Amino acid sequence: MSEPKVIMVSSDEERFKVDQVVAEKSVTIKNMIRDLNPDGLTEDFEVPVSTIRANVLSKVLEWCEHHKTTVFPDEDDEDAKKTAPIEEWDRTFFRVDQEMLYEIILAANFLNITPLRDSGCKIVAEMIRGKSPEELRKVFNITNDFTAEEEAAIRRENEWAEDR
Amino acid sequence: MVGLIDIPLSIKREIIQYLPQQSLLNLSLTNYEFYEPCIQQLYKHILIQYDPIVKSNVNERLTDFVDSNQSVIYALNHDLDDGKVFEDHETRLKLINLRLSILIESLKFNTKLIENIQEVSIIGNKFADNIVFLNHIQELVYLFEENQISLDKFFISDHNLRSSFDLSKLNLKTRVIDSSTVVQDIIDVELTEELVVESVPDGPYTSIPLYASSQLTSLILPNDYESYWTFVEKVIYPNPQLLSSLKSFKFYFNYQDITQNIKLITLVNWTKIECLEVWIGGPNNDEDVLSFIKLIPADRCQKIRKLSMVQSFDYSTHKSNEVFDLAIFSFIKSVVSNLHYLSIEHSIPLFGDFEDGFEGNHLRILKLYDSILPGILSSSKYKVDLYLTNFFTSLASYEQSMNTLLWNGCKCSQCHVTLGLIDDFLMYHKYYSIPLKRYRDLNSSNIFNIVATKLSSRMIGKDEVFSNLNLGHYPLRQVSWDFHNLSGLHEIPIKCYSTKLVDHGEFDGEDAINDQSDSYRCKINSYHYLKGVPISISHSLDSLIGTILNLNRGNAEKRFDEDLNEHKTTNYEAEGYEAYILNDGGDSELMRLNINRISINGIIYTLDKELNGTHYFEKCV
Repeated sequence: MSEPKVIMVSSDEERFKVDQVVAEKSVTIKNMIRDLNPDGLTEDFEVPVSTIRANVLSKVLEWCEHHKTTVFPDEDDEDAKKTAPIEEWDRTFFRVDQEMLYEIILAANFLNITPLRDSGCKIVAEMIRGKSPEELRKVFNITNDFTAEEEAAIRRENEWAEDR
Repeated sequence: MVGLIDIPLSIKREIIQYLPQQSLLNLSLTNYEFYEPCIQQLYKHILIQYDPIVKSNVNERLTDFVDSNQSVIYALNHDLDDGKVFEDHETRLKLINLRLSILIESLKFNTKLIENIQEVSIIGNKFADNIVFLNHIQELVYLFEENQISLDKFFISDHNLRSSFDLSKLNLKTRVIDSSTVVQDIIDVELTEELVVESVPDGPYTSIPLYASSQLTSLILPNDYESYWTFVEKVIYPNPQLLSSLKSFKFYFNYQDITQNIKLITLVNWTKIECLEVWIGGPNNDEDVLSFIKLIPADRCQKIRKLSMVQSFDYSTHKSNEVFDLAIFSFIKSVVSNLHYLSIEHSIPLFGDFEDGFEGNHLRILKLYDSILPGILSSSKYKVDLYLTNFFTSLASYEQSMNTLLWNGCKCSQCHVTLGLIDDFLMYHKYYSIPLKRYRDLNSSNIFNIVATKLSSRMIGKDEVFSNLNLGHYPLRQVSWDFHNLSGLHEIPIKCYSTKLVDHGEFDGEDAINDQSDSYRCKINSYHYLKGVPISISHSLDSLIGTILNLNRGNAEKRFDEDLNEHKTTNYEAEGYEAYILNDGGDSELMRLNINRISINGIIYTLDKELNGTHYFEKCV
């Protein structure tokens, strides 16, 4: 008999049948399976993921499949998070448009897949690095809601940290 | 459509934690939605230091985010392209003081800002004499007191500077104590989670119930051997409960009385230890290390995730140094399962001057670090950050390999200039040998040893923060260095000559070149160091990294059976020829690459795989 699977159902009701080890990269799903099946899965387990669209869920599961055997270090170690660069595979995985990128990060947050969320956040941080306020507004479609005086005040307040 | 501005604040904060200070400033100016989280991050960890930092290179594929760990107050960036180096001490201090005064004014004006500060670090020993600086720091301390801010850390690395301030009223989680600490002041440590002991406070200790608290999770004892064991005897032994909850600890082997080691080891709850620094060595060299290292109960140390090994004694020969490495490797192997951070630091005699000369076989030490250690680390569950804080200093002590580097090394345009400069330096300078009481010629090992020492000083490690367990916490510094000031702790005079030394006949005798004026000074300065030396040294280390990554393809003309003979295997049919023949740059049957980054004397290599499995690296110099 084959191993029981986890079936994840997206907001648009597409069903994704995956191995338990893949689904359990999500701490939320792992806890759910443990709580409802303390003796382990005996049959397929269906989980509705009503906040995530099918194409986003498919990407998230692609990441989980690739990293199913990867062991990630302690989440609380801030220094370790900062010394780790984005893996080449993840970098390629995140070659998507901005909206998809944010949706993957949000899905990872919802499903509690911290390493995926971290990796996505690093990608966004890299997009932000090295850009002026004007460039940032343009790239990320941000409206400036500061008056000229407020902007000058913020600059003055934090001038000690200007990198020059 | 979801945009960056629409995502929840918690995720914005997650992103923002990876931004360096200028990006935080820029993003904070785009919209109020970003202002608050950016400002929180900007004020979280403030580092005050003399030198600017080495920034992560965002154009590389593999960049780290260490430069986002601290908002740094320094003078001005060096202009690396033009070689404009800010040397003038007074100007630097003025600029640092200016930045500090703006910070303090902002904290006074907008009182919400100060609540964001969790950690302040002041690193370096250039500030203690500057009254303006002292006043600024005092004002900062008052601000924290007035506003009743609970800081995690207010860390001052320099003893003299630290003794100028009373930090006892700040509810710090990390406390530093030293000889100037009043014993009575350190009794109340209910909130202290980390205790760093620089030196032993003056007593009396009798009947004072020091540190009844069991909150203490980190205890970093002095780097100095005598101070370490004095503190253990006077404070730890009467208060063994200090060790009961420790997760982080520094153990300094007692080479005079082995029973002291056993006594202290018995008091530590090794099953809880996650971060361990071991200082090990003794006058009997390898015998001491081999017998000491076995005393730590490795079977109970399986929670160790961060390990730092420090050689605490200068070793007399290359061979004993290599035996030291093998001994510590065996310990690392026994605790490797959860390791994701490893630091190794050797103790190298000044100028690399081993008793047995510079003649060791450098291939042996290379083998230890390019094959044996990566093999051991492949058994960890996690990818490891490997810090070889002074491995290049060790390598520099092998003259043959340094001669090769200097005269037959990399031929790129950068190295042509830099190595040419170092070669010139050898030809026109002598150093003063204190034991011989005369000027001596430099050899390639001497000069690269000092280059290596200076490169290492870019890292903030045990000499300033008293352990090597957090080398990723602070970014690297752009330390500038004048070639004529070769010494580290000791002042070794260097003398310039206007003509080549080879033209003056035989060397190393009396200072026979009497016609040289002492005031003659060549034009080599810190600009040359900043501009090219780190890059050229990194070129010489690339092949080592290539070997670790299995990228060095070796002799493509070699027949497979020649390779097999090298590996001395007769079982190749079962194991497959490929494992022995193809260095295709990926994981092999024999070894899985399990290292995230390698820092060698502060030159940082980040390692990864291409999508096709081939390894590659990027570096930050």
